[in-house]
Amino acid sequence: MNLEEEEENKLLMLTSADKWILSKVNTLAKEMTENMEHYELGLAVQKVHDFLWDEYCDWYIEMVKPRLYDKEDSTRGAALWTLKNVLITALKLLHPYMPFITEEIFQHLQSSEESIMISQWPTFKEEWNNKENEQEIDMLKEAIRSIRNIRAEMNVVPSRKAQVFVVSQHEDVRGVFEKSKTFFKTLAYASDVMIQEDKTGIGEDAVSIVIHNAVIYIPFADLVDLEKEMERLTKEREKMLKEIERVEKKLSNQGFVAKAPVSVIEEEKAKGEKYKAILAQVEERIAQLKK
Amino acid sequence: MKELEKVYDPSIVEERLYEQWMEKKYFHTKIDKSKKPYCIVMPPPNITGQLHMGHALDNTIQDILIRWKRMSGYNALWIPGIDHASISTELKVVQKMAEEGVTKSDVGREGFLKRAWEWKEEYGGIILKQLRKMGSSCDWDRVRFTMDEGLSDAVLEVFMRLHEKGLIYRGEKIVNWCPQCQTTISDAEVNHIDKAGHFYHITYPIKDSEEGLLLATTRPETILGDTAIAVHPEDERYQHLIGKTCILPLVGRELPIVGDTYVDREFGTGVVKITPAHDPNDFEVGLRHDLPRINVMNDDGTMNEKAGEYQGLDRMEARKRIVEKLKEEGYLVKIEDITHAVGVHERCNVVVEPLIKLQWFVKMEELARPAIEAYKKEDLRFIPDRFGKVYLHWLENIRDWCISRQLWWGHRIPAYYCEKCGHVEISKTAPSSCSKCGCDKLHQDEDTLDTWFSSALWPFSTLGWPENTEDLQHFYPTSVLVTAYDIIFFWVVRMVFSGLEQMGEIPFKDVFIHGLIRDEQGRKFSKSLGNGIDPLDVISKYGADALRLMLITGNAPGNDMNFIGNVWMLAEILPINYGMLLVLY
Repeated sequence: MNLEEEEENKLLMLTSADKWILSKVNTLAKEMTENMEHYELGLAVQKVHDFLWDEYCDWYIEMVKPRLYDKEDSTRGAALWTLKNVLITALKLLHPYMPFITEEIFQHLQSSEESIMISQWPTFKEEWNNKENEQEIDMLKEAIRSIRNIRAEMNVVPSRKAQVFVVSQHEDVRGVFEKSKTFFKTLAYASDVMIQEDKTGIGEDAVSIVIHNAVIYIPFADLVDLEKEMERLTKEREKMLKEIERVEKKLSNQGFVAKAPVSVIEEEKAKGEKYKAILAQVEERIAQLKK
Repeated sequence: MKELEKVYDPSIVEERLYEQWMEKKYFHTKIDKSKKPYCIVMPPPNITGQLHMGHALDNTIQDILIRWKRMSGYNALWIPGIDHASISTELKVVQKMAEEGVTKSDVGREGFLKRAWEWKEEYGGIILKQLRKMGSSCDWDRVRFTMDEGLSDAVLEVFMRLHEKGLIYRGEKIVNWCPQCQTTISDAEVNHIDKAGHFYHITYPIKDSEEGLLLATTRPETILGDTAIAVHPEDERYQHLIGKTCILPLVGRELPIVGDTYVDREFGTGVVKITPAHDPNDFEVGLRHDLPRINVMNDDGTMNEKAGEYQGLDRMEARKRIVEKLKEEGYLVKIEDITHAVGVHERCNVVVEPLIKLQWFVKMEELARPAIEAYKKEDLRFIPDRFGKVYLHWLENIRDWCISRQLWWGHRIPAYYCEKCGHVEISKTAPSSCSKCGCDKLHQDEDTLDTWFSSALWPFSTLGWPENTEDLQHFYPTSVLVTAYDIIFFWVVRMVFSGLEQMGEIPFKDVFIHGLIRDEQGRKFSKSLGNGIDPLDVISKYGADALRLMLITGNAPGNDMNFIGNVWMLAEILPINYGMLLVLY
């Protein structure tokens, strides 16, 4: 098999994640060129910066990791090819701004061209353009990001996996999620992913997250160990009560109030307010759990 | 493929890669007519300069544009160069000589110039070396200097051409004179600062009358040079006095009372004294009413023989004594404390004195017109567009350009005076005899040209003009000028009209104006504030890439940006960039 055929074979194996990042970097090249034509250099560099951090590092690399680790995966070659080509394109776009590091990486990454300085500026490639795929992955990103957010809000540790239900009445939306089930496992700590049309089998206590054209449900017990959580909350409640008592004592001490500077008194009062607010939240959670 | 180092050390990588690029001649641009030309001419830093954040930003922008266009398939050329910076360099050399206890007159013109060239050889290239550290991809085989042979020839050629067209003339004009530096300075080199001062209210008696005219001045020493009193012609209070005569206090000279619309009726008493030799507005009034000019001051700011008993006194001492005398003789009505804007020389902060001098001038009206047109026809574009208004404002209010300077370091004015008949020969080389009387005793004008005279030619002189070189044909007009907004008048305006006049075409299509770099509190970086950040320090600590990224992130055309706010990025950016890559292995 010659190199060209190999390339073509890889292209045939591109997954929707690969097509998505190729389309993204393609759009990036177009937008940056337009910005630069208008001398909006700050805006242009911000875009390539955001692309590398957010789309490429935070999402794409995370998405392809399972394919890279699995030597048997038939799309492993396509993943590597995409990783490399997208990075080369982004490096070229970044080169005018950061000439040295981009050259250093470029020369290590490939050997067909001798310098990034005299390489071709990326132009818009129609064959890389794939708006549909961009939309699909953007939808997936939204779902994963919202799961991560809710887990963070609820202090769920990453090691605690949870079942994820995606409910949508739209067949195409279900199709997209069906294809991308594995991403929920690698990127959103899912133990299992169910894609369905209605709420069959989803408990009343499930945590729900509404996204565009779909609702995600996670069984509450999957996220939280009831007993442990009760214990933690009870401790937290006791701690807050103690703190509130301490502050109130201090503020009712005439000697302290007379002598302390106004700012210190204000600070104490503010602390008292804060503790009370936390206490209210904790008690609300306890009440919820008891239900 | 080689293994990447685990830790990215910018100082090692950057030096190695820059050398590699230089060796491969990537920066050198050969003319390639199959490609579209894209040319930037670097605003030449002064040879006295050290790389500061302003240069760093300016050159980062240019390097971004040139690298981008080179990659996009243009025949991209970036010409570097340095400016002789007439007055700044001369001051530095004088300072250095002072340390040795020698003055300019001790060593003479030739001796001084020898020292100045030595100074240039020693320090002049520093800033260009610093620009290499930034990663600048300019064509180092094409470095130009405003006083190199070719550019000096361009200067003489332009002088000859403008003179032939009658656009350069010698005349008496009121100029800004710095008594400290002993030279003429341009309007733009005068800083107007608020200073505490006084309004001295003085009565000028009317001849053959009991009446007097009350007026106020901030510079009573100049009354010795008064040659008229002016009122507004439609001012009912004074109309009947126009044509009558006042008696100048202390001196006794008769002064005509003239009507001139320049007088502001609402200001003070509506009466002003006219001193054509010591005030630019009065000079104009003097021209309209054919008034004599009496210069009462020497070049060093002391009073001259026309000042009578005050001769030899410094202007400030003379002011004090004249006020005392006015008070004694009953002319002084009151002294009012005021704060007013006083013009000082930006380099030495000494109060500028408007004086009449015989100087060389460029007539501006005819040259300004096509430059205004070019903008209105959109041949020339400012980014952002609002700076086009600044450009137009300068051009529409332009005064003749005083181009002679009483300095030695620079292009000497190519005017030769016949010692016998006084005829003035304009010539690129010293003429052997006077073309009028044949006398062989001629001496060259002592003055040099304003430093901006040569920088005004920069976009075409660097491409080889006045020779019609291939470079000139291929790369002129250049593509964009990148500069800060503070030199739109000094430089941009002058390059445009010079380009239009000499080449018949604008020197660049786009003028990209960027802001100034300020500190976190929004102050300009300055040595005296001690808030400067040395870009070379940043490079040695974090690398040129980091510096460039910091300078350009958040940069929007024309807006100033605060620097410190971006520093946090440094710590993050490089390791992540690099670490991201290692993921692939």
